[in-house]
Amino acid sequence: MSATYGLDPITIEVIHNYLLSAAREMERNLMRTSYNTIIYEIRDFGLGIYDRECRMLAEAPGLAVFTRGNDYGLMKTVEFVGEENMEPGDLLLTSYPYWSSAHPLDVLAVSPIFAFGELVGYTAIKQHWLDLGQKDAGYILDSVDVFQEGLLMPGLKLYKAGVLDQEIHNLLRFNSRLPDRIIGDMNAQISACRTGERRVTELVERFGLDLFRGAVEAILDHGERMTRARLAQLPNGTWEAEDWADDDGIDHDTMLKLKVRVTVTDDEFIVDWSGSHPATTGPMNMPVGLTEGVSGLAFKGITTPDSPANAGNYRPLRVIAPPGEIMHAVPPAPTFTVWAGLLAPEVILKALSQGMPDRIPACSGGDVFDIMGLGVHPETGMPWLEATNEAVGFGAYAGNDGEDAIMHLSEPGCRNNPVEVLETKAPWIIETYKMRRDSGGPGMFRGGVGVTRSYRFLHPSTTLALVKKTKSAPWGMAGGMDAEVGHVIVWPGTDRQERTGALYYQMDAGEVIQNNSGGGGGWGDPRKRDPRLVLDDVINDYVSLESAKRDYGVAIDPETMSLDEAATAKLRS
Amino acid sequence: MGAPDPITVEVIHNYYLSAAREMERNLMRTSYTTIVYEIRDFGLGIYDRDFRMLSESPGLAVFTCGNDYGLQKTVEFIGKENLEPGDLMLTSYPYWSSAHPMDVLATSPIFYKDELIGFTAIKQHWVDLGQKEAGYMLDSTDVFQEGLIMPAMKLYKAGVRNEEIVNLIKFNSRIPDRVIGDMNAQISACRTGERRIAELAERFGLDTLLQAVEAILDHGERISLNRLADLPKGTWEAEDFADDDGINRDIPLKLKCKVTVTDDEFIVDWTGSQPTTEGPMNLPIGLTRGVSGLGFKGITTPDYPANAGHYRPLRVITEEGSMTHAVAPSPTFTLWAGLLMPEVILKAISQGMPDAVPACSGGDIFSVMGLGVHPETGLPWLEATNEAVGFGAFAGNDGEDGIMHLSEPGCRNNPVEVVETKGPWIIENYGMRQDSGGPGEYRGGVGVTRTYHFKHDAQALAIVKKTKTAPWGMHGGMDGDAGSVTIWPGTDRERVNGSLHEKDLRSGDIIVNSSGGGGGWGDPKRRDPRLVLEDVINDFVSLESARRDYGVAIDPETMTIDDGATIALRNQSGN
Repeated sequence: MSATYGLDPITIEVIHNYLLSAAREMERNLMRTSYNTIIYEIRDFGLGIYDRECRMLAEAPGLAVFTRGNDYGLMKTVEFVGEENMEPGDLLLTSYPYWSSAHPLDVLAVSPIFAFGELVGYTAIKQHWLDLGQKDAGYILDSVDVFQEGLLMPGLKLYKAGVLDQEIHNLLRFNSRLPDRIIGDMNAQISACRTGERRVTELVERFGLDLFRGAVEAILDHGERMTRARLAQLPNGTWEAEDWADDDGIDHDTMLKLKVRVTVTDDEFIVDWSGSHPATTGPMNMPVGLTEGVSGLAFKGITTPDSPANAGNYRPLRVIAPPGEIMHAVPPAPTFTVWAGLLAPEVILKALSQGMPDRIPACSGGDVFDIMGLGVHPETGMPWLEATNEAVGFGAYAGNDGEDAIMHLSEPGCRNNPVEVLETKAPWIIETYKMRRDSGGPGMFRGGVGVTRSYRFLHPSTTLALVKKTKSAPWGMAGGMDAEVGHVIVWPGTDRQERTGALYYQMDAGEVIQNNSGGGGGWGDPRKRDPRLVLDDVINDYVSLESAKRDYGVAIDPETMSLDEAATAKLRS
Repeated sequence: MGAPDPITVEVIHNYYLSAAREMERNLMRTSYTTIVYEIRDFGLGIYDRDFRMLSESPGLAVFTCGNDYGLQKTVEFIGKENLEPGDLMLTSYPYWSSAHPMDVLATSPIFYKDELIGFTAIKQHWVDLGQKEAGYMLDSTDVFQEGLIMPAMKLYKAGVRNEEIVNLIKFNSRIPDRVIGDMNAQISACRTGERRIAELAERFGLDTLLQAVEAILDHGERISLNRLADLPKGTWEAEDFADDDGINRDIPLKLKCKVTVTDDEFIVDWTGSQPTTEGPMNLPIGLTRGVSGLGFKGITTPDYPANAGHYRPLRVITEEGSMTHAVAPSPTFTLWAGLLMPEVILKAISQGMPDAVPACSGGDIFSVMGLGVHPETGLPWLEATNEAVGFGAFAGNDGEDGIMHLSEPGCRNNPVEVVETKGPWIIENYGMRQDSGGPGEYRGGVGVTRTYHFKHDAQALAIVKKTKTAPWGMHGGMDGDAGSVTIWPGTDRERVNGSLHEKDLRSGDIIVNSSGGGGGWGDPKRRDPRLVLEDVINDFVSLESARRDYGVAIDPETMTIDDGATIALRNQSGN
């Protein structure tokens, strides 16, 4: 028997693709039946299909950091409930953050998959629930323990053998400020889990248990093999890097250190967060499953970015995070703003760049630049709540500019919430939405630019900004310059104009909040950039005439919009 | 079969009363928390199948009467037809349970031979359900901040415990072991009540039991109507003010009451009271009805164990959306208005029957709570106690000194020895509060002072909402001294408060709880000087107050009355 478990590669690929397609179908099901733009527009979810040992076989990432965290959440859920207590038709909810690996409003739904009467795997979907009675409506920026953060569900069986526990269903409704919408979204989540179950059961019934199990091993081993092949190509060594998140939401003057030490050997990739900031009073602590997840995200990006993820890909990865530090929350430490996890993948890249400067891009805008609004809609008298993340500039790298304005690498599967949707759902208008000139770090390869979006409220409302990277600039590389850091401006152009990262504000009708996402860092000396490309950037409004001159040493005649080659040569010499 | 004879009815009635008492004993002997077994922060009762209360064993009296409404809403939500033997429901949705979400109502149906014949109901304080602040909350702005909301959940279905719900409760509490321990005590006490009433049906037969129940309730109504007939008829109004809503600290909250007594009705109308508050001072309607009932019962049938029949002549009117009738999701956590309300009813009716109603008491329950991590065990600790107040004087008698407020006649304080054993603090001082009783021909009772000295980092809360309006005197009697809570006394940062929540107390910090005295009744200059001398000797009244307020001169050396000087004093201001 060959290493393919008696299976021909074609059958394995058919099974693999069936699983991938089942995950994709779960995603479609979820998006088409959910009630909230946060799910169906922004895709604030992560889902996957697992085998019986909680090993991920296929995923459809929305918010990428969710999916890997789900591995840990599923494992803890099954441990708590007991594998032997799983029945066909069960569906479990987990929002205990130290297990679910996200804050309590990101609820993990898990269902066991049975075929031929045997447990063969699980579905898992995590998605943002709009309200579970957390201390503040909308979101929390300053919780001090987990009990302020909403209803905690420890692997609760919402369905037991297919029968809904009406008591728990009632409890969910009564503990939410937006019961109809959360129940609507929950039903979408359940329905998507059921779709995944059905497809995998079909698959196993078609190919038989043995063949399915063999294929699973083959898929995972293949994932591992590919990863190891790429790992072998990486230089071996140990490198360290740091970055700083703005604050913990309570003490606004203390920045939070994220320190990583990455070691690459022939067969291991070790990400060690020891020495990062101690546990914070405010909610910036990370569930360890999420730390493992975001570390895995960077690892996957470096090794096998071009193939769909499965648990085999992560076998060479080892993550170290001492309990009680910011990267490993211990109950009941608050974890609501898990933003350290969004910054973490780029700190890993920063460390690695020392060993492989030509493979790693400069830093991106570095955050998801989230804005949320909520209030009572004047036309319906009902509560409204809308949010959107914003695209950032990506870091430039050897051979290419950074992408302008795409979703941050922690959420490659996410989208922004379109202007038309936001304006339809809520009493505000978007006055400006555009690329943010000069926000990309100058370089031989230019960092991508961020964006600016301005919201004008038409009715008194609450708004909150959720950004934790407004103080440390996205770094350039190889002589490229840093990018302009992102930030949020409340009441721009007025006496009380205020620059912020993450805070709540009460807005009156007519007032404005402006979200400016960060640009990416540049790569290489900007004076070496082809002046014609700089001219293009100026014409396209990505770069100003002043920056062209000052940073790139390129003189452009503003009348004719053409290069002044002599002046340029002089500037550059 | 004819109606049961009066003796059988009394036997059955007393069996109900004794079953309620046994539930109480069961609860107190098995609960984990001093708040339940020392302070008796609970209220329990036994009901017939139409939610009519037959017997109770009040701890916190305002609980028990709120349970009527809570039980009814619980069964409405679940559906009577869905009840099975062995069920046990938990309700903490405040607009139903008629208390804040941490006062959880447990109810269980009583069956006899598969027929529903009644209910048990117990409400008690659970020490933590994941509300936004550990311990207690003074400034919530909606119900969702106030802890886990249970909308009449079947914790047990036909005798089988729903482990999912137990897990959920555990995971949503900062002190899960104690919450579950107290919950088990509560369940066990419900089961005791069920068992006793089923026995009763078995012994007397269902028909006899049902007829006896009607007889008990009709008797309750009859005596209540009899007493009502003795009351003067008329309509009277009164007001008082609670300190604040916990958020807007400068706005006192109006409690306005119009009481109408007719031959067959006693109408309590709260119209015109404060609109709904931003902070958690709103009252669930069931609680407003409960505390109105407490005032009514005290006036009509204080000497009979309560049953639903007593309340038949009572009608309570509220404006939905005002402070006395909370609408979801308005915050209700500090439902202190309910503690003040019975005395506002008394104040109104005193105008029609001045000789039958006492002056105002200290007016609140003066609750102090400490919590933190105990240095010896490393575990969370949380202890609380209410404090006795002075009672108002009335025609013919002084007010009682230092007894529990009339909203909680079944409660006790938490003894010094217990408080010191459980928490890292010592009680430095516990004494009667000199001069806190309102001077009068009959003196208002004095309040007490208790001083807490913290020995370790901790949080402290004080929950008192009557520190700004004085306990009124009557008939020329003077007001009692309003209570207060002082933190860091004698230091630069001394602060005198009603409610407070200090999250960063250090070892050595001190809090002094001074409960209010009762108002006096009648002109103090008419008080027998010998009684004033006794009060001075007993330290209830100071020499200065004896002289200034009572016109009694006492020689401090010999501690005797200076008759000449006394006559002069009393003439001089005798006008």
